[in-house]
Amino acid sequence: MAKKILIVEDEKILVEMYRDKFTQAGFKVISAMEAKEGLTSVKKERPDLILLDILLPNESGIYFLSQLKKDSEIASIPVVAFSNFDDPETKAQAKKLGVKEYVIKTNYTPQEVVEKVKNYLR
Amino acid sequence: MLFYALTGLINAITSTFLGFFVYFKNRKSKINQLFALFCLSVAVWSYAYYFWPGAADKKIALLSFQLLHIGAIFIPIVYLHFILVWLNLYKEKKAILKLGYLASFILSCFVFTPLFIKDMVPKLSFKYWGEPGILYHFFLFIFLTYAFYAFYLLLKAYQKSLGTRRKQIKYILIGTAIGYIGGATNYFLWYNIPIPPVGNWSVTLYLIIVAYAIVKYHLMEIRVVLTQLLVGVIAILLLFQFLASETLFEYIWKGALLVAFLIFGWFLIKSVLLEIRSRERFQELTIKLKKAYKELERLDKAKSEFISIASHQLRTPLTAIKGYISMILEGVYGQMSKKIKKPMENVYKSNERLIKLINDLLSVSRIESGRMEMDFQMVLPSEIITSCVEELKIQAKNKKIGLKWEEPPKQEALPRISIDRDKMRQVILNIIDNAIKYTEGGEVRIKCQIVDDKYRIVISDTGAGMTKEEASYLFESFSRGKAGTELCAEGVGLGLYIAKKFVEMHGGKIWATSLGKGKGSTFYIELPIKIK
Repeated sequence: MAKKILIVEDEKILVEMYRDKFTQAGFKVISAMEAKEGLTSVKKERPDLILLDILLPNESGIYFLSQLKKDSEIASIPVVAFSNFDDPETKAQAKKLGVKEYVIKTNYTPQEVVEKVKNYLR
Repeated sequence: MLFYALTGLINAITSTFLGFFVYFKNRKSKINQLFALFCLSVAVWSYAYYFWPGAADKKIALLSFQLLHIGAIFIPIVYLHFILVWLNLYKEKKAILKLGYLASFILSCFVFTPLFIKDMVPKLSFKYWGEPGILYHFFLFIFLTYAFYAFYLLLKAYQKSLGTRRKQIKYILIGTAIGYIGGATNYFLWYNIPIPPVGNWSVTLYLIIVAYAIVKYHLMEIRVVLTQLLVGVIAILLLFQFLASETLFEYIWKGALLVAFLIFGWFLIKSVLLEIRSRERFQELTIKLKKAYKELERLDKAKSEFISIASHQLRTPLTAIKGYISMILEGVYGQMSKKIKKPMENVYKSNERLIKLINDLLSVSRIESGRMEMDFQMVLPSEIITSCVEELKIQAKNKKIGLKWEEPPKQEALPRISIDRDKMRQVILNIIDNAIKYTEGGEVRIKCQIVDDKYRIVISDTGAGMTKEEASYLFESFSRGKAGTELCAEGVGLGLYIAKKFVEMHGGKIWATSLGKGKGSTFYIELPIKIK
């Protein structure tokens, strides 16, 4: 059965791009533009992995993580933070909140991101 | 009786000295003026006080009492004035002060009338003591109100202040409490409470404590005042000695002694003054530096935030370009013609250069602001080298350059060492990438070895080489060798600077050697094996 991933990302172009790549790689892709919308999707869709941008409109990715960790039913879903916001403090916060990895998007091709995700879903 | 007269005399002399010298030290300073005025009030009160115990008759005793109260009336209001100016509260509390002065002036007009002192009668062991007139109660009320108010303001300022200022206020608070409590013993007998003015001497103690605060914390440069006083007294004594000489020889040596002492005294005062000035300058500079440092910290934080946000904004479109081009090249959107493949690869490469530039600028910014964080883990450097070689082998192949990684055989595997995997990968990748770029034909060879308990990675090439001069500034920011500009137009010369900084953050070192132009280069990365 195809693995389901949730992409929480506010840049439409990037959502479209990653959706294309992950769909082509055999994933089922759902997406959300904001943290709260993302949390609702997680509860409803129960994805196998979350790709989470950090700088989002309204609440940030850090807020998303803190809320996710509070809810025991969804807290165990693996999250890969992927953002171009390369701030050491934010990175440390995200790692403390349990992200598998903090990926700087621009340093990886979508294929490399897919490989990372596959690795975490093994 | 002698005891009470003496307390008055001591108070009088102390207040006269302090008031006089403080005023002449800096006549323009409002604080100095007010302190001197306060000392004057104490002096008026104290001199008159000195004459009262020994008064021959009732008339003189009454006159002494009346005169001392002229001083006493003004003590609390002038003191409050001094405190208000010192605490920078003068403008705020001007009305209260004016009211106090007005009341004091009015009261002082009645001191010589029976409304203030009704009569002089014997009390306890004193032959003469005052009987309060109706205005005396009013005077005491004003005295206590203003004294307590000044004390309250000092207490409030003490709670809010910090450092030296806090210490100064503390001393003045203690002095004020001692002075007023001791001084208050003068008022019990007026109301037939059998307590003699035993605490009168405490006014001197109060002045000494304030003087201590001044000496220790340079409130009014009293150290200079005291030095001048000491020098002056000794000089006067020597002058008397000189004038009392009886022979020519005595005149000569006592005169010489006086002159020598005056010269010595002058230098002493000058050196004390100089020391105080430099201390004050130092304190001012410290305050300015603290402010400047805070401002710099704020600016540094703002700069870091700006760089993080700006790089985020710059990276987002580059991510889309990188992603889409890579997917087009992978064939996600269908097969493309050979004709278009090369231009697409060029777009991809150009985009990679931009990404690298942004990453390098961000790294430099972090390195220089000391905000670069390290994530040390026990890692096999050979694994990192293998992945770098994998990444760059196509590039080498395209240039027809041999890329030889002399990986140690498994049985001779080198140890894991504590390093930041990503940063060390960036360093090694950068050096190998440079070696490929600056080599036209020939090969790039990589090996690792243990030398003197250090982990050494050696990357040598048969490329452009460099002069000794070029090698000396190779690792500086924005520097590129001549070959760098001739053979390869890419980059701004930050890669090796970042590499050097990253290696240094591992406690290691990096350097390069070359036999000269066209004779290739060898880069060495040396890392300590044990880092916790």
